[in-house]
Amino acid sequence: MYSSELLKGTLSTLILKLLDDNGRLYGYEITQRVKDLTQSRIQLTEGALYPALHKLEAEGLLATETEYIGKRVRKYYRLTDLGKQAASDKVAEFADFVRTVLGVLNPKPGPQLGFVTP
Amino acid sequence: MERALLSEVQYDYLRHKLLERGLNYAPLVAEVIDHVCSRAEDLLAAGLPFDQAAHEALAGFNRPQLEEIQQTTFSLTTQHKHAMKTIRIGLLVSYALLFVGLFLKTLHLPTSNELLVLGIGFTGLFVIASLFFRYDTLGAERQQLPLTVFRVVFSLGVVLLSWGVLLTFLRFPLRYELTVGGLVLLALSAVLGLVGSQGIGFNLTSHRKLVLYNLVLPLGVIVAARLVAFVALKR
Repeated sequence: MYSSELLKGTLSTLILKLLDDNGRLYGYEITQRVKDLTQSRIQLTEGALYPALHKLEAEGLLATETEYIGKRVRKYYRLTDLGKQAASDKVAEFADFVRTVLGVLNPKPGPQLGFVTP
Repeated sequence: MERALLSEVQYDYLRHKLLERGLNYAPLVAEVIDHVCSRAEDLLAAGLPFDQAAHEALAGFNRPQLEEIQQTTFSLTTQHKHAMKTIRIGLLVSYALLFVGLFLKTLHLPTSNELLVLGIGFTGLFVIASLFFRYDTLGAERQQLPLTVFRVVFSLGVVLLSWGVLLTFLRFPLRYELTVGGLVLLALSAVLGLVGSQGIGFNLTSHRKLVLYNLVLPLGVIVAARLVAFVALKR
C-alpha cells in the first residue's frame, strides 16, 4: 500500500485513464479495477473516490448515465470529449513527471571534472 | 465471475443501514448504496454469509466517514466552497479584532470596546453562517427540519454562552443575561437532541467546530491577548 499523499496527486489521472481504456465504469468497479491492476498495492478509498468523481463531473470531464438494476440505481461514468483530451494530457504529464523524479532519484554520473596541476 | 444479485430484502437492509448512518446527500445516495450492495455481492460470491458480508461491506461507511464523503463532495462541487473560504477569512479577522481589542483594553487605550464588540459579533455571525453551508442543510435528499431547529438552538446557545463568558471577563453589562440565555438554549438543545436523537441524527462531532471556533478559540485569544498585554505593561 502506498501513502495517501502519493495517491492524492494521481487519483484523477488514474480515474481518467481507466475510463479512457474501459469506456464506462461505475464507482465500485473503478476501485476493483485499480485493485486488480495493481495487485492490491493501490486501494482507492470511497472517501477519496466519490468526491474526485463528482469534482471531475462538475468540471465537465465526465458524463454520467444511470441504469436500474431492480430497485438499485447504478451510476456509470464515461469521459466527455474534454475528458478524453484531459486524460491524454494528464497521462503524458504524469509520465514526464515520473521520468523527472527518477532523474533526481537515480542521477546519471556526469562528466568528471579533473583538477589540472600546474 | 458472475455474481448473484442481492434479494430485495437484503438490498432494503443495506439501504436502511446507510440512511440510518446519515447518508442523505442526494447526488451520492444512489451510488453509495450501489457501492455497498456490489461489495456485499462480491463477498457473498466468495462464500460469506449475508450477515458477515453486510457487516464488511458497510465497514467503510460509518457515520463519520459518510459525513466526510458527503461534506467533501459538497464542498468540491458547489460554489459554497467560496463561501466557506470567505467565512474562514472572516473568522480570522474576527479573532484578530478580539485580540487587538483585548490588548488595547488591558493597556486602557481607546477604541478597545468597539473592537471587542465587533470581534464578538462577527465571530458569532461567521460561526453560525458556517453551520449552514453544509451538505445536510443545503443539499440533503430531504430537508430535515428537526435537525435545522436543533442546529439553530444549539448554535445560538453556544454563541450566547461564549459572549456571556467574554463579557463577564470584561465586566460589561448584559453579561448575566447572555450567560443564562446561552445555558437555557444549550439545555433546550440537549433535550431536543435526546428526544429526537433518531430523527435528527444528533451527532456532537459534527458540531465540534462550532464549539472550537466560538468557545475554545475566543477564550484562547483572550488569554493570549492578556498575556501579551501584561508582558508589554511590565516592560
